[in-house]
Amino acid sequence: MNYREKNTEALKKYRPFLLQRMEEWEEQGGEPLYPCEEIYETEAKDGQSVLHVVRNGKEHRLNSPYRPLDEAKRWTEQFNFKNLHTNVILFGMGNFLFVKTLLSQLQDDATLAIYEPSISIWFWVIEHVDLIEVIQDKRIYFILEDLNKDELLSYLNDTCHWTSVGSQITCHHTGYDKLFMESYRDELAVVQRQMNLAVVNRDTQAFFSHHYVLSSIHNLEYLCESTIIADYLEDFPRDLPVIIVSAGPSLDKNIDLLHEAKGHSFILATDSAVKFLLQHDILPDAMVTIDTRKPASHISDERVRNIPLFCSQESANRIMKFHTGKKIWFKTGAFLNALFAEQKKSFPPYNVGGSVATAAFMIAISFKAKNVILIGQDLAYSGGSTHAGGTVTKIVNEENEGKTVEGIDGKPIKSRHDWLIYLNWFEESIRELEKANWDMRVIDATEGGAKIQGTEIMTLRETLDECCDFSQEFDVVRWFSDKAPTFDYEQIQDVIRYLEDCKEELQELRTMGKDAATICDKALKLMDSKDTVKNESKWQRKKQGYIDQIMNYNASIEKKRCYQLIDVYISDVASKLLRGVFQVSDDEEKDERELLQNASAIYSAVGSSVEELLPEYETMLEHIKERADRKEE
Amino acid sequence: MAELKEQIEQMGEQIDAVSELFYQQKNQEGYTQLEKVIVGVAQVIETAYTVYQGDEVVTAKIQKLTATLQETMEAMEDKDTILLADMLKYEVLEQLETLK
Repeated sequence: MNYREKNTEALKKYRPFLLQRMEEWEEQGGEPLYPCEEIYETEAKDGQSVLHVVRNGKEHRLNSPYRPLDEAKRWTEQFNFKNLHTNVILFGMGNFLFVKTLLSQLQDDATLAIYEPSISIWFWVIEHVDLIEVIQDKRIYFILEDLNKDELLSYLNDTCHWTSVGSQITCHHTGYDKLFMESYRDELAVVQRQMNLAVVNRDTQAFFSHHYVLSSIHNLEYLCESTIIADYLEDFPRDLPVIIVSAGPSLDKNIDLLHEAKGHSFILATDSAVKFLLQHDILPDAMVTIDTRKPASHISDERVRNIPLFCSQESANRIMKFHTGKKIWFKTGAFLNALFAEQKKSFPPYNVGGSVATAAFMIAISFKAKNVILIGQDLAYSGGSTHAGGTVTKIVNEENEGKTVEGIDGKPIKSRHDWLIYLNWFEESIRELEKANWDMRVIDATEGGAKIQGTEIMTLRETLDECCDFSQEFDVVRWFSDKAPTFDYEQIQDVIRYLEDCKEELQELRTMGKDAATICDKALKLMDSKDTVKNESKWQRKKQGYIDQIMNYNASIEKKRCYQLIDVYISDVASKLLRGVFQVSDDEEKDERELLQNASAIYSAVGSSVEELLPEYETMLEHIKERADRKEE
Repeated sequence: MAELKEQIEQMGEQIDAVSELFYQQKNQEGYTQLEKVIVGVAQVIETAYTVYQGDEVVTAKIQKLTATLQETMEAMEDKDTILLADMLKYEVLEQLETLK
């Protein structure tokens, strides 16, 4: 068996999807994104292989002509592999000498994402290099720009947490930066953006954490009368087109056509788009809101008070309070998820994508609508406007984060970094639908903005003529509103009992937090006494005893159902203390001391946050009981 | 002679450090240090000429080293930093060692 056969066998066993993509690419006669005129190897002075690539008439040598293995070893010496959960992103695989040298240094909990811009080099390597061990290694992610480029983002989403940013290594195989300059620049930009996002998410979560948790608690009182998305999925009329109305600047062009669509489609508006619809005297059939800090002004008009509202655990409580119509939970956080699961209620497994428009799209997909129509989904500037009505809403660092993308007319159009994330999300979601052979058309009837790959581009006029059945009327608002609440009276009593149990857990958490902090302080005091200790082994046993107690408290705290809420609530404190938590220094005692100091601060924060939240929680319990009593009447 | 030996040992450390910078893609720093290495090697050659004036064997070694330096400079002009590092470490340094 030659290398190609052995490697293919290994791919079949350990990386079947990658092999499938490779074979599909070959069968379809794929053209490499970055063609190479020639790829060959020569022998170094020490007998090792040296890889050469000829591109654009220029020859690039990718290894030392003297001692390639020594070169690879000297190259890896610049990196710190001692840290925990190290994630390495390597641009370029070469002949795998650098990869194998890297792997020999990485710990078991590390990951290595190999991003290869040239499918030609990949195929060459499959033919000429023994990759079996590498293919089997679960720490490795293969990302080939021609085949599965999007997996870089998935990898970064999975691994790029703010706690690991300090121990992440981004590097490139020698020579690749010049050989594939454009790809290298783009890849670096993607990685840097995700790292920035991880830090921003940390800061955002820390900033919004209190609002998030307070909304999550107060929104619970609406459980009595509300429904969940699963209640509607089986009966939804799939032939009814879903029109997702977002607030992009192109909405001004075709918004009035929605008058015709009313009654013949499901008009699902993002919270940002509601006011623009009302300006044109159009009532949506339902609205979507997720952002915990959304201003109340977005949904504050009497006309929409009773329109069904798709909401999540952390939706802005002021909006939830104003709204008196049917609330439909479509997404939960960990806390509410556990509550629903206890009552044997579940939610579709989806990733709502981080914006209200992507959430609306997920709702439409859950309903398995045959036609999903996007309007106002520009994801780009229109002149200087960012939103409908000529509105301009600026974001942090906007000037430095702009990028030009393809518009629906094929011409370049200016976008910005947050829109690009959502653009990528839409495209990836549509690709997943295509892969799964879903019977669904996604039509972009925005009539402007960035091109969303995978959508059919049509005008709204054409779309309505094609997708709407004007011979029949369907009262969507009534259809959603008439559904009985998810929990009947008996079930809501179970929910109330569950919430009361959680209140007791909160009280226990308060005590455990304070006690664990005390143990940490005792352990620190013991460490201070190390130099004067007479009985070293007794000292070690006592220290270990404290550490065991802390570990037990930790395990008990994390088991509490409402700890999820506390964890988010204290993220502003935790984000400062846990920065660099996986970074290991040469001074074990210093690392241990720092860990104990941080742990003490976090446990104290657990205790004090419960003190703050208990009164809010008790208020919520009172309200939900009142609503339950009214329900019985 | 002792002075020459000391110079060569110092050059050994500097060459090793410069090569490492290039292997680790720290090219800007590498080029800055390279300047000192070139000056240092030139001084070694000068010292060797003075010490071993008339010695045909040493003169031949010095000529070979000068030719190697020339090739190393070509690698530098081609911006082939890996070949540059290799030549410094495995040619220039080895030939310097023979002058000790």
